[in-house]
Amino acid sequence: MFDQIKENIMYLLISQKYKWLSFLTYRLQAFVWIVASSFNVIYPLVTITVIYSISSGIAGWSYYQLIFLAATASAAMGMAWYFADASNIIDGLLYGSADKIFTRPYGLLTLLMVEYGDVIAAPTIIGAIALMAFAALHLQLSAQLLLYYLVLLSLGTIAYAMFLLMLTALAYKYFRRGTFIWRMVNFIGEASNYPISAYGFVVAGLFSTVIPIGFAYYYPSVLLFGGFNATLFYGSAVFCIAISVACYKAFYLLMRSYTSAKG
Amino acid sequence: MCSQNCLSHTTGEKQIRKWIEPMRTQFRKLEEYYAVFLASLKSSMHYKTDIALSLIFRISTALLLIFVWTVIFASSGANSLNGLTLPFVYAYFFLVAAMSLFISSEVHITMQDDIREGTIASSLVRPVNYITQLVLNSFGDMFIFIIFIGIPILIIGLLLAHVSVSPTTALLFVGEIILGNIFLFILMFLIGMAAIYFTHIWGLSWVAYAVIGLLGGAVLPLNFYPSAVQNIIFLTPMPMVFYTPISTLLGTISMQSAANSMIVTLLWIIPFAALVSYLWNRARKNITSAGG
Repeated sequence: MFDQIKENIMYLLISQKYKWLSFLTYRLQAFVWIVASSFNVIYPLVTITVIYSISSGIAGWSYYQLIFLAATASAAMGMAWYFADASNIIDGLLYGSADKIFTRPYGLLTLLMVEYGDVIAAPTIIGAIALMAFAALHLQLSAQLLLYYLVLLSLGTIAYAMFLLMLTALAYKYFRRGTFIWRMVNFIGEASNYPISAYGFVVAGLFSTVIPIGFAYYYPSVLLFGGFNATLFYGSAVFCIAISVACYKAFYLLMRSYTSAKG
Repeated sequence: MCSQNCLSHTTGEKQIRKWIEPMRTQFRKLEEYYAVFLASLKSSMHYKTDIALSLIFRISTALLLIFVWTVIFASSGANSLNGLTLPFVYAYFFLVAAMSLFISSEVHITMQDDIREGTIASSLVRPVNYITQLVLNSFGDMFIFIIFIGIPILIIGLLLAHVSVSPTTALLFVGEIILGNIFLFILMFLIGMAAIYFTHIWGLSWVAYAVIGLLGGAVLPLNFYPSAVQNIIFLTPMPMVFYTPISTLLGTISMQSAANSMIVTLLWIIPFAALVSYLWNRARKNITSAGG
């Protein structure tokens, strides 16, 4: 089993090299993509800066804390996009490009990450990390809390990515179209620029259960700025693992209905 | 006598034909245009789920921003921020959601697909001019969304701000939307042309939409930007895409400012259209299609 995992990881890593080489072949196009992808970070930066320049902002959140929160969301969403672009996956399933990859001797998840992950998400991730570093310079962050934050951020991102994968398989099975997914991702992207506590009980509940984006950006940030809270940390971690496993299982189950697009 | 009468009759008939023929040609052309528009309309009608989802997500996004701005106003304890009260901010974001349907332009995507799949060759030899086809297709795609989503959201927005719209304001709003659409169409056409040289133009269109979102007022009302930034933005046609039409409808800008903004947009559109037309005439020569 370990050999299999090792083989899958090696395949994933080698494929990254070739993906990057292929991306950088068309340099001007790559540059345009880098600029385009950077806007995922520029948007929240401009919005939050303008908000804090004309008002006292969102109660309980300083300017730099909110920048850090929005950057965390961009990083989490960028990671999910980098490893499995839901729109690419659904196009592959619908138009037949998935047929040829499913015959390769690797796990389904690895194959989807290799084939449908998008390197153009990298500038978003890098930009988000730079923005986090910029905000962190103005915030006194404890190293221990940062570690807890990173653990929750990773678990939350995995849960969010698994949720998107499950949703992709669901959209493939019932809608046969991917527009539903990108509309939802856009909506989540817009929402994740601000703390979920601003959206009221219903939306905050939705983002903490059905759509697990709250665990990928909000709860890690609350933990980082609000101090360690064992219930929050362990509860969120357990929930993220549970939702990741459930979505992974549901994804496999839904993918059983996959039929080749070519007949 | 008869010959003279017959002669004058024939001459008269010829005269009438001379008048009618261009009209018939124009009418035939209109029929062709209508057929292109109808085909596009029928195609959009197929995606009922898309229409419903689009309505849900647009309203939801506007609601999210309303939540956020309610918190911001409450935290600041102010009745208005840079001249905008909370009900106007609510209305603004609803109108942004509606406007994004009024100005939606997928011209570049159609062009990219046509160029990559080689269908541009057949599109170029159709009786309807390629640019006209793009305009009609674009309008056909937008029509259903405007009727079923755009107008209802627009009405919600206006009700939220308790604004009554006078016929003059409505006319000005329509004129601004037309200008905004022309500008956006030209911009997206330019990006679409890049598909001749690039393999994908998603990146370019993404940058364009992001810049329009920021400078056009889709992300935030332009009143919220620092005045130095506003002064620069108002020298561009960007505000005509979102901010100016919305502010006209809400009555937050004067007729004079709206007229100035229209003039600025026109001043951009004219040379921009000439440039795009020149580039298109050159670029068409570089178009090669698979199989021909």
